[in-house]
Amino acid sequence: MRLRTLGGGFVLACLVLLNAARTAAQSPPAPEPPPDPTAGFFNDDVIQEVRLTLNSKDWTALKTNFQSNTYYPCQFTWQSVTLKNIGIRSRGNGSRSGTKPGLRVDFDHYAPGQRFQTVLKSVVLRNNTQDASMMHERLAMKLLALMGFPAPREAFAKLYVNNTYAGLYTIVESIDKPFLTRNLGQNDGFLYEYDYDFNDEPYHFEYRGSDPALYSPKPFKPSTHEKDPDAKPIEAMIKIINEASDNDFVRRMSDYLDLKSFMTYVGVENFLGETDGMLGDWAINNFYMYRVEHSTRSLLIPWDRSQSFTGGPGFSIWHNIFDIPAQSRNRLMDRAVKFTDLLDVYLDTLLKAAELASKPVETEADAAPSHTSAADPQNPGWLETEILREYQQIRAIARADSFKPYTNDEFEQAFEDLLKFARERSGFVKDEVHKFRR
Amino acid sequence: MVIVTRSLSALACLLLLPLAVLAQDGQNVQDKEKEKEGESKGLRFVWNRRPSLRAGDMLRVDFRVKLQEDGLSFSPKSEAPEESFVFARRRIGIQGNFLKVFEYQVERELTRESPWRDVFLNFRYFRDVQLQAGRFKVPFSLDQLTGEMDNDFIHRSRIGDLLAPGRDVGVMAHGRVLGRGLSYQGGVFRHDGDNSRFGHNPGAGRTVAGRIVVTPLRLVTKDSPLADLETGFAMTGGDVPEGLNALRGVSIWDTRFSSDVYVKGRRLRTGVEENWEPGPFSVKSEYVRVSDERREQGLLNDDLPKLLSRGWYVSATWIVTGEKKAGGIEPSRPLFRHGAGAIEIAGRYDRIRFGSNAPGEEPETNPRAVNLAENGEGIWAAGVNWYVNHWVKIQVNSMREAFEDIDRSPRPGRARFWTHIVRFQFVL
Repeated sequence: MRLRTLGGGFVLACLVLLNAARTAAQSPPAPEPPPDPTAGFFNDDVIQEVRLTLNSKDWTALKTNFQSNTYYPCQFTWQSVTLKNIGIRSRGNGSRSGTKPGLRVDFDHYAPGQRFQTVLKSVVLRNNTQDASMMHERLAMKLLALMGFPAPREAFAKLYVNNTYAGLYTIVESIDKPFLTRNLGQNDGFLYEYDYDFNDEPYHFEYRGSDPALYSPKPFKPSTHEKDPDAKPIEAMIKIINEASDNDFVRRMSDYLDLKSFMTYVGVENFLGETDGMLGDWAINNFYMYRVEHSTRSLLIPWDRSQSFTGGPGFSIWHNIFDIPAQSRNRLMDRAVKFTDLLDVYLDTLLKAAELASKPVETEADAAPSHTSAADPQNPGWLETEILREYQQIRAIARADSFKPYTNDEFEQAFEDLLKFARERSGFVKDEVHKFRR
Repeated sequence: MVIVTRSLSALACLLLLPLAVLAQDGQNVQDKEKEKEGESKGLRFVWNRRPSLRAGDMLRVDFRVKLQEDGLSFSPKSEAPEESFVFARRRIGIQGNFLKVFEYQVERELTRESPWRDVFLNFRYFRDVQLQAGRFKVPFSLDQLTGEMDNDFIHRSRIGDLLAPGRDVGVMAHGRVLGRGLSYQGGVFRHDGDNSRFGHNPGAGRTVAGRIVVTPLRLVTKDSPLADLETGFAMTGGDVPEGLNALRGVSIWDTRFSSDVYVKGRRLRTGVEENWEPGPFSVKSEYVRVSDERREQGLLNDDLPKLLSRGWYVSATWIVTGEKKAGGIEPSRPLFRHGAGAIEIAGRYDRIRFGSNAPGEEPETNPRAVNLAENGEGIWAAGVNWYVNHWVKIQVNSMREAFEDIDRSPRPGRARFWTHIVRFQFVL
């Protein structure tokens, strides 16, 4: 068992290193990978165009019963590719809408084995109804990917339903086996979607007892191995979080989760002003957990970033860590933050994210190192540049989206708020970290 | 093991029940005589194979009890329905006549859900033209119209169970003409039967149904064994409201093997049946076809080809103890009366299939597919029926189901399934 766990840890470390290596700028030349057939679909340099054809009564029913997960048959068209015999349904939690429904497109719902672009089993068409700027999700995932996390690819899309413009959506890559294969090179481990509904009791990794059924399918909903979710390692991990002594905590947790990776994850979330994530205001939320093949060790995959940036540029780096009663704190973070080396990982992550976001983007014409301030509007940092790029990309079609639950003025204001965040957040975070370390 | 133990217990109970009935029946032979003598002598209790209240020929109330208990066994065992020993039916009821021209039947299942079975009144002033109103079986399908207690097999054929309407509320004219050479039934019903309504599926609306059964050779000769060969034709027609309201394919294992399909428009059933019961033998066969229109059900709100649900069966039986099949089997030497009852062996093959006739289109499984990917099953059934006496029947059946689409079988990936059932039946 010990060997098995160590082996799993080794595999996980390799996977994380592999992923980090993929994102590193100066990677050594490697053999040319085969072309990704889905790259065009997730190309975020352009606005994609997706067309759905379905019986008009089904579209009405889907919008009327938007709280239901009923599937409707549909035809899906992207560029010159048309797929028949697919299923769509309303999706989301707080973002569900009867006016502009969030959609899950399942290419294999009616035809097991059917794939889009030979790979994708499903995609999400996010309606962005909880984000007036419509950019939170994509911006946050981009930063998470830059920080080395396996994050879903995203692209904006004009959605047409029965040839009528249905609004600006974000195409989101599903977290499923094809995603795992692309990011981790394996997919036969245990993937769980953290399933928190606003009607659920807030959960902060409390130990509920030794029965694995107390943890899966709720809140850890199996996305692979659905018939045999094997939640015993989850139960064991949560027991350690709650019951291990300080002397044993880090060592025993390392069998189940890379705590440094966890601290990095929450560090990026905090930098992004996330209010509905691992340290969310309502409880832990919005992530997948993947237990690596033949191992007890898991890694975290981010999901649903619509509430990123909502904390604003002055979002405390200790938000929901020290500033709330103990019973409302994330038990894992509450334990981990007491270890100096782990706390340092958290603080270093904040600094790294701040640096990344504020560092001006190097272009071919401007390859020389820059020492310009991130707040300099003449030479904006990566985050501000990305916001401006996305804003230019979507402005016209976002304003034309009459189904969004925001006015155009609110859209423009949300864009201004994002710019303010980009210009002020890094400085604020750096100040707070340095202040703490002094 | 549990099933065997329970089976033996049930067998003992069911054998004891008719012993009590036998005792009553013996005592009341005299009552039969009295009945003949004084038909107009007021209200009397009579025991003529079952308890009855009589007031001459002005009123007759027969009390009925029908019990069926099944022991089930499935193969493969894992993920199969739980093996169990269950009461399949527990019915009580009354039937009889009054004022010489009215017949009635009221029968209720002892369950909370949909308890009422037959509840009807029949006006029989003329034998050729009778009028029936209430809740009873829509006249369609020989197999469905055969009483549950008189079936040759424990399970009806799939077409009898799934495509034939079953009971509904309506009015019907029926009778026999041409010297009993032709019988007919025709009526109007509120829907198209219980078998069409399940879950949120309301079935078809007002439905017209008609059935004729002829014995053509009887008109030529009454001596030939073929004189009793019956040929029947039946139709029903009604409109199905828009929705996932198609008929369904359900396996013996109680799993769905047909996909949900959106339908809207005319539902038309047609059926052909043959029935021949010479001496101790019987041969039955039936073909049923149901078409459901799918108006405006395409992805572009266009009309789709009709959903076709169809199937057939052939069955044969032989009473090895020699009793006659026609008119119901009555053991000539019942158990406990110098004999062992009547033994019958039976075999049947039936097929059912769901799909749409749209050649040239890619078959799809979604509920708005132009060409619905077909699925169906074929079932071999073999059985032995032991008619212990007038009241008790014990049936043993083995069925082998084979599915065309293994992804929609009770256990996806596997095509063939076995079910073994033993049934104890007591009818008073």
